[in-house]
Amino acid sequence: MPTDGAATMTAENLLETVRCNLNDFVDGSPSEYNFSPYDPFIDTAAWLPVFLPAFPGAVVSIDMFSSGINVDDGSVVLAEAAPDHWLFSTRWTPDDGGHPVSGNRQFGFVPASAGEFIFYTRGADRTTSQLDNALAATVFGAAHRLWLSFQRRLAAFVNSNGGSAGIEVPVSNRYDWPTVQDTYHRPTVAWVP
Amino acid sequence: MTTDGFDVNGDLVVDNANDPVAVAAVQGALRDLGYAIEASGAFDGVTSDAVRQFKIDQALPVPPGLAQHDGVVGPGTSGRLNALFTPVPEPAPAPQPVPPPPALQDWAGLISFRAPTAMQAALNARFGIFGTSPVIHAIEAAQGPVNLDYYPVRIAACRPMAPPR
Repeated sequence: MPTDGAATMTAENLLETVRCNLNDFVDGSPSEYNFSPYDPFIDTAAWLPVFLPAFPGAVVSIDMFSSGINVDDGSVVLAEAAPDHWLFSTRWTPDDGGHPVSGNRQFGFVPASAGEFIFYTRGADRTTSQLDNALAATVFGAAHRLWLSFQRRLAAFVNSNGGSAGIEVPVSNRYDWPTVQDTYHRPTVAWVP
Repeated sequence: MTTDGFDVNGDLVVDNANDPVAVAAVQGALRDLGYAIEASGAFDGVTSDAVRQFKIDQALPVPPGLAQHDGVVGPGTSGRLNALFTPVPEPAPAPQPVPPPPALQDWAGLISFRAPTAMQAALNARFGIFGTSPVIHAIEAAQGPVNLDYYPVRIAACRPMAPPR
């Protein structure tokens, strides 16, 4: 594990460091993404509280750049938070409109063998609108680059702060939705209209 | 009928006033169908008889105003010839069955996850319901295939000790 300047971080510390400094762990503007609290008066306190873990329900706005141009925005809500993971769900907001994809993304860690941890982000999503779907290669390609940068920057952070990290093989595949839905889509919570 | 190969309706006709190349094409088609005719390019009596017989054999309708088929190649005749000589398209390959997804159990929770009811209600109240805007980004209501991704980094709990000198 890396150090925070004084002591070796725990896995929980590191995950929290990633969450609170998420823009430092992805390629940001002008080429990629910027994350910020949606409403500074509401979501800053929930997403970046000074002494407490983040509050589920915090909304984070994402600026999405391409070649220096802010081509789109999207919002995600911190839908679940625990010491070993947090989870973003995409959603519509008045300022950002619809998110290009509908689904969920988790950030977390799991113990691995030999005193190691696997830190990860894992996502499951589909393009939100028909227009988004027409641009699916662009949408998913941009996301792929973003999360590759997450891997690279996380490993670099650990390695440059006294730890030892290695990038594992990423997975990014598209599957036929009805087939996946039949087997794996088992929601236990109803949508609130 | 005009002498430049088009009838009063503007449809192409093939008779003795037409281009020998077009006449030869019709003759060749009829010959290939078994009619005793040479592809001479001249619209002669043999050709006219063969055309008439072709119309009868194909049960083409007799044009209004005629008591029986004539030996002129009009749109109905040329259309039937074209249809007979249009290559039958290869049947489209049967769609490949979508392979069952491999073990995607690691994504099952994310595929099914929905924010808790109280959180959904709070967010809906906060942002309001704006007409038909897709307030709920339901994966099951989205478009296209599903993207499943995973980006892992292996981190040692302790830095390996340097080998002894």
